[in-house]
Amino acid sequence: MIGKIDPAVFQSLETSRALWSWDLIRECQLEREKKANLLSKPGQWIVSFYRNQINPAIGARCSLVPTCSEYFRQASVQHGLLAFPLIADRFVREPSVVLLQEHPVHVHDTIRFADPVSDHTEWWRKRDR
Amino acid sequence: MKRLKDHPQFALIRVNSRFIKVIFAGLLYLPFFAYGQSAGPTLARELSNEGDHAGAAIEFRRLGLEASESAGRGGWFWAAAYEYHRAEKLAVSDRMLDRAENSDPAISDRALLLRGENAMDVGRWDEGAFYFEGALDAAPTEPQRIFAARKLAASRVRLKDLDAAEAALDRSPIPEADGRDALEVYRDGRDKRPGLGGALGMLPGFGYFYAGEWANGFRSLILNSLFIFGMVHTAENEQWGAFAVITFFEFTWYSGSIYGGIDAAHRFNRRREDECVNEIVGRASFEPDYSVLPSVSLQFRF
Repeated sequence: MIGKIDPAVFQSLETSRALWSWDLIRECQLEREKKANLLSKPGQWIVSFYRNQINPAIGARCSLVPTCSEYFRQASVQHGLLAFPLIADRFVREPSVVLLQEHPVHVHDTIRFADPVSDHTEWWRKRDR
Repeated sequence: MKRLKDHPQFALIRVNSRFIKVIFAGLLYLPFFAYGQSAGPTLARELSNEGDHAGAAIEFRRLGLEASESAGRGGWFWAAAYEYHRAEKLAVSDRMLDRAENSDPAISDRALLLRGENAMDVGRWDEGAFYFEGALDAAPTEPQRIFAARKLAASRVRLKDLDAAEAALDRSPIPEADGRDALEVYRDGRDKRPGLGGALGMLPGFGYFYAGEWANGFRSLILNSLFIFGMVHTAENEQWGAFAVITFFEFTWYSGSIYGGIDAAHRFNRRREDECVNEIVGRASFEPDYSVLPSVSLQFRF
């Protein structure tokens, strides 16, 4: 897995194999995404329908990262039905985010703009810190 | 009679056995020779320059584990922590700083700076303030004191304690005129109330208007108006299938308007705070001088 992401890191890890400890192995483990619950299903069905039936016909149109469908999917998995107001808010904001050009990201030779779910949920998740 | 040991073949074996001893001694020496020629620091620096900070951190960490002297070990672990910080692996960076301080307590003033940076990056402002307070007390040089004072003031602004932020700027060895001006502007301005933004969002678009996002407000107003018109029109014509679909979308837009009103107010407050913090901190940053590692010497930029 890590070799696919970054061969150089994989090579560095291999050269220091003798020094691997359980501490290091635990640190390198990937974080698992929160398990989807029942309330996240409607959002996921809509994303699945969009990706299979609509997206192939109209192509990729979103200028943000993550794309709107991925944003909606992540919001559904993390926050259930609250994903609906979140995606509506994003559709309204999208042109302004592109215009502001605050957080440019290079994706496959095109410039997009970062707008993660966490930026719009952090104010009610502050208590978790 | 010639003894068996005097046979020429045995003489050859004796020569070979001496030769084997030389090879064996050479093999024993080889790892020490390789250790003396270790390419670890160079590799770590190259990885860091190429932007592979996680890889560089692993190399520095390996050097720390191999180091025999405690001071050297502390320096390598500090460098590993710095690279983990740049790779945004902040929890591991903190653990490396634990090891660095355990190995070399004299490094703690520089460890506190990095701990403060780690805490600020994940929004643990109170923890950041605690570390920068310690870093400011322990700072041995003027640039380090300036950096720690600015960062302490920034963390106090994040905690909405503007008097403490001003007190932190007072402790800087230079006047900090830009920081004080920014603090004054922030003090004079007013935060938007997210609750009021949400309440105004019940009138589609007005939550965005409240936070000064006029374009977003008009977009929300137009979308909601169109869908409400669609609902009314389909209901009048008793097209209940279309009415159900349009109503579903209208609920989404409407809830988005309320949520957007709250979020826009928070966004406004965050931007105001970010502007103040950016003015206070300015372009202050530090980086270690890798040419003198494992001793940790920081170069500050303002």
